[in-house]
Amino acid sequence: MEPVKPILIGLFLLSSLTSPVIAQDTREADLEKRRRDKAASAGKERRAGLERLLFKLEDDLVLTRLFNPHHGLFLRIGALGEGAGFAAGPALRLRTDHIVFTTTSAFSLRRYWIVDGTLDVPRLGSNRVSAQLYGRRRDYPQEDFFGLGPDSRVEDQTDFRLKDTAARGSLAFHLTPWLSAVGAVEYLAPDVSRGTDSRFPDTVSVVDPRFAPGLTEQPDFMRYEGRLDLDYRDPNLNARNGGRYTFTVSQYKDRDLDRYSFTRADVDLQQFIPFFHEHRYFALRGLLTTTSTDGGNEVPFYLQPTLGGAYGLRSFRAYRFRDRHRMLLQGEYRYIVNAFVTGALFYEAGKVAPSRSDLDFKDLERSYGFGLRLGSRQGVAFRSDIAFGGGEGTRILLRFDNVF
Amino acid sequence: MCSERRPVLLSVAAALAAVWMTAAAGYGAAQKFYPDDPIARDRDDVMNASSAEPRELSEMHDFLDHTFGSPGDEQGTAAVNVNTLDEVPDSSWFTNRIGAREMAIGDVVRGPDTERTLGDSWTITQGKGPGGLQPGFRAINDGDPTKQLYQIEFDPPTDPELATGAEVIGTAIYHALGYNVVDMYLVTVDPAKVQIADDATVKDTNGRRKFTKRDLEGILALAARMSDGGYRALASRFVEGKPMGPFEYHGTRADDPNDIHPHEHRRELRGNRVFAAWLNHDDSRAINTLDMLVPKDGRQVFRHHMYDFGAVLGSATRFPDPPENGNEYYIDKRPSLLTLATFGLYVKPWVRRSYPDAPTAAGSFTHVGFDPVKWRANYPNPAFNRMRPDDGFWAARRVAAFTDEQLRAIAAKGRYSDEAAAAHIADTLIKRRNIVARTWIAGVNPVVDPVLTQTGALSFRNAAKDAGVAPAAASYSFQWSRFDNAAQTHTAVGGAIESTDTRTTAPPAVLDGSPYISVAIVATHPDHPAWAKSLQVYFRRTAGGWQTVGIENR
Repeated sequence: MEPVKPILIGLFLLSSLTSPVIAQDTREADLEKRRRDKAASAGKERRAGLERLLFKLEDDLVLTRLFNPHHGLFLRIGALGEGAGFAAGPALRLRTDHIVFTTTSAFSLRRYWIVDGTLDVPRLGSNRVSAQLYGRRRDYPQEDFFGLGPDSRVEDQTDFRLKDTAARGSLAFHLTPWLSAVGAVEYLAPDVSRGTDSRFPDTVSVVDPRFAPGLTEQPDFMRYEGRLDLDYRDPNLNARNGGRYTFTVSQYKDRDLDRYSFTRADVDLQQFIPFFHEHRYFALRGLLTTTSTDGGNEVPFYLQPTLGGAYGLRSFRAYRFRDRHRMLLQGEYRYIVNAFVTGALFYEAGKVAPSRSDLDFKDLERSYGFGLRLGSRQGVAFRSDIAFGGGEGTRILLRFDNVF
Repeated sequence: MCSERRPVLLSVAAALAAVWMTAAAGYGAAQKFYPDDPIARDRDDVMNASSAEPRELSEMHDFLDHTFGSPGDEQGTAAVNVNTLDEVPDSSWFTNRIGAREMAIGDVVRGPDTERTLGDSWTITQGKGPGGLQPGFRAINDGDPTKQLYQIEFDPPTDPELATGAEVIGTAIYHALGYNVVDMYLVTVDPAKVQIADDATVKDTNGRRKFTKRDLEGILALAARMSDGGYRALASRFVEGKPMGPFEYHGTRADDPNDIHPHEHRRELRGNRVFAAWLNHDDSRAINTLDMLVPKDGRQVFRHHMYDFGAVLGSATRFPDPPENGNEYYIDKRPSLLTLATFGLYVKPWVRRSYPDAPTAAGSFTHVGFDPVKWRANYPNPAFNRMRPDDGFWAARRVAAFTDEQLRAIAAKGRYSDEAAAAHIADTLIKRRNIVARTWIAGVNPVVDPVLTQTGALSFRNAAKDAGVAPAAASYSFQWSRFDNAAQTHTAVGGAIESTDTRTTAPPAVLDGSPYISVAIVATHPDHPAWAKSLQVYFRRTAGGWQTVGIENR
């Protein structure tokens, strides 16, 4: 029997060695053993590269820092108007407790550029008054011109270069949270020359100056503006409810030639009518612009109101119609798809006219179509519309803001 | 030779058999109940976690991962951190409070709060930082010798009392439910009594800089001001320990050795779906949780918290909840596609519904159209998605344990200037509580609290009847068995016994001999077919009689 002892001892040891996979005598011991096992192989918390990157973007406020910081250098993207192409440029914001100074620039793929500066005083003595000084220099080398009037033809497209320098001072009186009045004075020095878009004839070369006032000579202007703004949209950056009614009167004084002084009045009425708890709503807009002149003065073509493009009559090219008076009616039925997507069906009608009496509901140009908006209550980040009507083809529009 | 070898071989065979039996007996799978079952506490603080490092979550990644991915273990598994009575033991995650023991109204209302009152003078030590929706700062209460840090947050001017009221109510309820939450006080901030510490800083897009009077003015400009010039605010106490970042509703944390149960299979996290639905806590996600590393008997261990209840009830923190909150995910694929494909002609049912007006400070909190099953958080939550009827039953019993009086007292903690707001919130909580109970308690076999006396008298309760959400069962059926704990086998004793009462007597034969016995209980009710699922109850023989040791298969 003696030889058996080593075997038994060996088997006992073997059974002892197997104990790591043997459960404990109590639940508590069993759980503790599982925790000890985990401790023996515990690692570090690891995040995937994408998550680390996104967290870094959020924690360091990278997007805000990049595009809209409290102060310091940042990047300006876009906002050079339709047809400019993608634009970006460096910008700088400086601030004290009472003043914010922002200077920006943007340069586009189609060689548009702008440099501007704004000095904001958000509270001038009280919370109800704010002031702003603004100056800019810009060069838009491929602006489209199709001729004046409602009967202009798309085949007549030409292009011109518009450069201008502007300096403006304004005071805003915030009478209530929803009502403000603004008074502004602006110095404007425009310059029109040959366009650089090789696809189209140059406006200066081919258009008879009699049909494009101000084409051959551009005076400097003083502009005096008064505006009343009643705004109770909710939410105000991507409204589903409420309305906004803006009344603006601007007087342009020709400082050099005494030929191009005029007065311009704009009435912009927007109303948002919700139903189904604001998950459906009608966005309605009426826009009326008229100009008036005295004593043989004319309204320069480059300061005349326009229609066509992503913000009005979407089935037509940008600035497709241009004249001294303008009327636009827009209606959108918007439906909330989810928290980030809104769909829209739209219908628009409008016209430009050489005289105020022609601003009637006859012979209106029409657009209709559908689209999607990506964004949130904080605003629309991206918009895609497909527009029909007008006989000039279907247009697909991609923008980074809302129609209105 | 043969005569000598045989004893050796026999001995070897015997030893091998002994080893096999030892191993077999030792495997957990072979033994259903341990001597210490059912455990009342999961000692998830036994291992030192001091090597763990803080980590944060990306909100954007969390949203994308949960909306378009499917994080967590496969569905269908029963909760893994329950004890053998199908209850959640106390742990670093959860402490059994309401529903497990009597709670006086004062205790429920006080919640986690450790201070009676806070003074009205504050010294700002930091800006609040970039996170969160409410304007605020971090400060210490003047005169506090411990220099305890609080986060001060205000309501927006457009919706005074909305988020602050929701926060104190939500905090008190989540505390009573059993979670770790932070002290939360309603205070009045008088700008004249606020100082800025010399070394106070704030983080903005250009990094950390000195906190200035201008910053304070900017914060107060975004805050609702009361008629007396003061500002109603929340003061939330920073909890003890080292912040380790949020916990997730799935997986386990690799650097916490005590964290062995996948979070999506933790009952208290699954059951949080029921609580969140009750309170319309659509913002219940990982970002609004916090792990703290705290000392414990010389070790460093995790303690898991929930916080940020500013978006519960009818509040979306900065404005009243829009109707989509609680009714659909940010991106709910099917209704989104239907809406898109029909140009909005398809209108979701909750969009068509009309909701009653509520006092302004109560936001849009309503019981109209509330369906706890269809309720949705802002985006998918792995633990919520894995909740089973037994998890829902567990949670709903806790919801049902709140009395009307307790809920009215909690609503009053919101200190609304319009008493109708508190009344509306209390009434809505009561109505939604009843809907939750009706949905989840009556949705499974409702037999609870079985007790077997030494003489074999079995009694139990019908939780659905107790909660007032269903009538008594028409009848009950009992099948008794002896239970072999090691082999996990049942041996039926006699046939099924029928009764219309919640009492019956075990056959004497089953009580003899076996250390474990079981009874399968089926309830019958024509309106509740789910009650027919056989509930297995286990009893263990002890010196004093029979101990209820297991409940399964609810």
